[in-house]
This record gives sequence, C-alpha cells and structure tokens, in this order.
Amino acid sequence: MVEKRSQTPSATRRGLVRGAGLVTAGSLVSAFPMPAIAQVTKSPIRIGCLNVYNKAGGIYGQAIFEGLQLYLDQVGGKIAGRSVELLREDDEFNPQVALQKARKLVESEKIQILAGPLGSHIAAAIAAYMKKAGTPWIVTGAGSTELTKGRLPHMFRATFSNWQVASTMGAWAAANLKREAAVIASDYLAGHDIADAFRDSFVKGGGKVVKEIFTPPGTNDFSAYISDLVTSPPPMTYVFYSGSDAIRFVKQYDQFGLKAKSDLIGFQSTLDADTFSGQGDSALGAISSSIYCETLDTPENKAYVDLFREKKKSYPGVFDESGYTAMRIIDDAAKLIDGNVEDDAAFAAALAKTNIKAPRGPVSFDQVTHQAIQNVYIRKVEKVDGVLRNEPIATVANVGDYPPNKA
Amino acid sequence: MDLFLTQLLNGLVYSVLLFLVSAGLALIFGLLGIVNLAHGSFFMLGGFVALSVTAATGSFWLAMLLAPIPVMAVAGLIEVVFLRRLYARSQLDQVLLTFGLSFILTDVTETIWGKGLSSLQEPQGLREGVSILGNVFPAYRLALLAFGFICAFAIWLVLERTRAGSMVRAGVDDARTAMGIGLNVPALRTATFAIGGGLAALAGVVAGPLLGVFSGIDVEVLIPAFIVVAIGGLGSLRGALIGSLVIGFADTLGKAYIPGVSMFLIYFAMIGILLVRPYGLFGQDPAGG
Repeated sequence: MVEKRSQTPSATRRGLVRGAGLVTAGSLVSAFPMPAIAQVTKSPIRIGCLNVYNKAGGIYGQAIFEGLQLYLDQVGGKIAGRSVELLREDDEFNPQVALQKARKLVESEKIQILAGPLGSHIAAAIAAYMKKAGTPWIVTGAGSTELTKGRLPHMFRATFSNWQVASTMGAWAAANLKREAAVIASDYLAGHDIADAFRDSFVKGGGKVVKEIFTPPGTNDFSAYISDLVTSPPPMTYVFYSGSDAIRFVKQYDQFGLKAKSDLIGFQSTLDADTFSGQGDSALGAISSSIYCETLDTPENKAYVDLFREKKKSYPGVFDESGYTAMRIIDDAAKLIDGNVEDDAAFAAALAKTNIKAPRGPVSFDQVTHQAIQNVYIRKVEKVDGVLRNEPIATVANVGDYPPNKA
Repeated sequence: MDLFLTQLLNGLVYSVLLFLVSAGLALIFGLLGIVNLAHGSFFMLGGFVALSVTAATGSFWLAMLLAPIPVMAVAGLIEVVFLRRLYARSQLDQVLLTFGLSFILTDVTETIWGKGLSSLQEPQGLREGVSILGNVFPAYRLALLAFGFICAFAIWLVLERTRAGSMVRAGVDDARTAMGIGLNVPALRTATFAIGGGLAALAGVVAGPLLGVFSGIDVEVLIPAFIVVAIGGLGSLRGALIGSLVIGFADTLGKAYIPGVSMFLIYFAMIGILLVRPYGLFGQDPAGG
C-alpha cells in the first residue's frame, strides 16, 4: 500500500513535465514554421529488403541484397541527394512470416519502397497486402509467370519471369539444337512453371518432349532418375534446378556418363556463375538461357563485372545483377521526381518510365503488367584461363511478358 | 540391360552413404544417451576441411585422412566442456544444447568458408565410369560401396573383438557397474563422441563428390540420418545398418518406380516400422519391455 501511494504522485509529476514539454514544443513549431519539404528531403530514403537470407535460397537472397548494396556504394550511398537506409528483413521462405515482415516494414518502419522477395510463393502471399498499402514494390527474384497477371499498379518486376527465360529456350532449342528432349525439374511451383513454358514453345517449334520428371526439392541422390534416362537417352535434357540441387544433378549427370549421350541444356539457375565452383568441369559445354550473361561485351557490363570482382573473386550471377539493377532503377526513378519518394503514386509513375542500359542490356517495363522487357541470352559454359564462365552464343532481344498476362 | 538391377545398385550406394552418416549418431546415442543434433554439423565440417585440404594439396586421399582430425578435436572439446554437465539432466536440455551448437557451427563454417556452393572432385582414377550390366556406372560410387562395407566391418570388429570395444559395450549396457569395476567411463564417453564426430566428418568427405559441400547440408543429411536411426533403434549399430538399407532402397526404388510419392515414401516406411516396433528394429524398450 505504501509503495503504491508513493508511486502515484511521481507518475503525475512525470505527466506534468511531459505536458509542459509538449506545450513548449508546440509553441516553438508555431513560432518558427518549418517548410515541410525541406524536412522530408533531409530524412533518409527507407528501402525494405524482404528476402530469404538463410536456409535454402539464402545464397540468392544474400546475392540480391549485396547487389542492392553494391550499387548504393557505387553512388556514394545517396539517391537523389538523400541518404538511404536498407532495412533487411528475413522472410524465412515462409508466407506467414513474410506477410508479418511486410506489414512491419510498411507500417512501423515506414519504408518508401520494398525490394524483394526471392520466393514466388512469398510474392503471392504479400501481393494483396502490398496492393492495399500502395507502397511501390520492386520484385527482385520471384519469377512466377502468374505474378504479373495481377497487374498491381505499384509492383514492378525488375528481373526475369520464368516464362521469359524458359520459353525463349524452348523455341531456340527446337530451331537450333535437337528435336527431342527430356525435361527434368524441381517439383515445386517454379519447376512446373518453367517446364510448362519450355514444353509449350519447344513443341510449337516442332520439338517433342519424350519424358518429364519432377524431383523433390533438396534431393540428395539423383541416381534413380539418371539411371532411368541412361537406359534410352534422349538427344538432350532440359533441366531446372537451383542451389545444391543444381550442383548435385549436374555432377551426377556427368558421373553416370549421361552428358556424353544427351546434351545438357537448362534454365539460368541450373548453370550460373554461382554454381560452377560446385559443378566443376561437369558443367562444361552445357547451354542455358538467362536474362544475364557475365561475359557480355558491353561497356555497362564490363564496368559492372570489374566493380563486382573488386569485392569477390567469382563472377556475378543472375541474382547479383538483379539486385544491382533494381537499385539502379530505384535511383533513376527517384531522381525523376526530385527525391520526393514519399508520394507513392508519383514514385510508381516514375518507375514505370524506366528505360536504362543495365549490365544485362536494355531494360524497360511493360506498361500493362510491369514486367521488365529485356534480352534473353543463350549461353554456353566455357573454360577460360581455367575458370568456368557462361559465354553468350545467341541473343533474343527485348523479350516481354507472357502474352496472356497482358490480354 | 536390366534397369532394375542398376536401381538396386543405386539403392545400395545410397544406403552406404546413409550408414556412414548414421553410424556415428547411433554410436553416440548408444554410449552417451545423447540425441546429437549437431551431428550434421560434423558432417558439414568434414566436407569443408577436406575442401581446404584438397585446395592446398590436390589430394583427395589426404583430405580423407586429415579432415576427421580437427572435427574429432572439436567434438571432443564439446563433450568435455558442454555435454559432460548435462548427462544428469533431461533429454530436452541435451537436445537444446546440441541444437544450439549446430547453429553456432553453421555460423563458424560460414565465417570461415562462406555461403557459396562447392563440392569435392573425385580422386584421379575414380572419375571414369565402369561398364557393368551393359551400362556405365560411376567408378566412384562402386568404390564408395566397398568403403562403406569396409567401415561397417571395421566398426563391428572394433566393438566386438577388441578390448576398447568391450569397454564401450560395457559402458552402454551399464555405466554404473562399468565404473564400479574401474572403467574410466567419462574418458570413454569423450572418446566415443569424438570418434562419432570423426565418422560423420569422414562421411562428409566421401559424400562430397556426390552431395556437394555447402552450408545447409548439415540439416539435409541430419534428417534422413535420424530416420535411419529411429527405424534401426536408437543406439544400435546393427540397427543403423539395417535402417540405412531400408531407407536407401525405399528412397531409390520409390523415385524410380513411384515418383509421385517418393517425397513421402521414407516417412511412410518410418511410420510403418515404428507402428509395429515403437523402439525400432533393434531398439530396446527403456522400460525393459
């Protein structure tokens, strides 16, 4: 009882002090009105980086984040004269967690733009919320063909769509490689998306898919599937894997002698700069399609690769470049509106006007679906000075979004 | 050529790989009664140390020889510093500790070797395919098969036919009596934990050319290893061998012939066996049943 009584007056005292403070502050503001714009311009631009940074996929989330950071460092940490804060949140590849983190970034952290995520299921989980919030959103990884069908007014996919990359390969392979192929892919959303896109355009080009195999993500041992293919090898095998699956499959494909019998072709993540260290010579000679190729002979790409290699020994992969270019796009759009990124609608309108020469080549957005329109490169794994790299062997220029998404 | 026989061979190779991972796990549980969730980390560490050794010397054989040593040291240290305090406490405390250690070891690994994906190159001479049953089978996988059985035989020999082995078995059967007759059970525990960790590291090296070496592989191998040990019976080495064969074949043949359910097949196998034998094929009811 005694303690309780002694607390009451002190609380009141504190309340009094606070009240007095407010009065003082209020009178100050009214006495010296500050121009609102000036205040806004000085505060940093806050960019939410929602991605998976651990577990499977973590290396790609990390690559995207480092890409954003690399561009930011290159321009001295400022965008349109304002400093920038990157607020990193791990979505743990879990839609529930992602939605909470997206809310936190938008509502508590007051971000002006969201960059992320890698997972298509994550993008789908936060899409409805992001639409309601109206905060501009740059998609840096999630490739699902469906995603841009929703036509979110403030969402821009600054990277590949699965359809873009896989269907380009299907058409090119039917015209330039063999006419029969087996398809083997990871058994989740992206795997089916990519297999469908490849098959449709391959068949349209006169090709025939002789076998389709879907394998559980995180498969340790592919020998059962590979032995199945070895018994009657298809002329070529189209493959979609990423991360550790990509390493294991490509190595085991070679170990079983299948590479000599059936040409290995695939989706970008299967044969990318970040998988070569694990795949070694097993990847040599394989052909893949991608929105990026580390050996593109353009001034933009050479400058980027030099910059990247100052920090790392390896070459940049698709996700490294995606992060870098996403920040470039944000920078350009923010400049266009004099750094006034608090205005969601104006910021989104500026993003829609993107027209840049990125390391990957020209990038602009489809005005209906906001999918990046960009080149797709056909690449071949070669060994130069003892280092494995993708070399471009063909370019399909300015590939847009999946046509039905625009209809 | 008979595809079925090839698939059986594939299943056998995968079983051997599983056995190499789970043998140490079973051994540790048998003597220490510890469910070691850091076992996958020892596997991963072995692979990474081997990566450094092969990068420096170019020799896979040297990597196989050297990689288990630092991992055994780490494991031994963990037993002495941390686990020793927890034998008297509940299993939950032990699980939490080894779970926490697995996070720390992952962070340490990523700090030293980074997050990138790597793998080990098969040793020269085992890179080619061998023609059997009219088809190419990787020579390395055949060598792995032989190595796995040699390991199984060697472990059995040590446990059943040597003085050290009988000491370990005495410790497993009745630690109190073993101490009573003058066995140094604490030292035995440290040695067993270190050797179990070393076995995991060795598995990490020989699996390197097939499964790769990267942060995250610890969890990927730990899950099937636990299924193997649960099926075989916690703490039973024979159980680990039989469990590996069950899971290795179920997984491989499932992928080959019923791909639609292959993702779940090993779990079905586990559930089926545990329903009939709740303590695994060779496990004993701790209540004495």
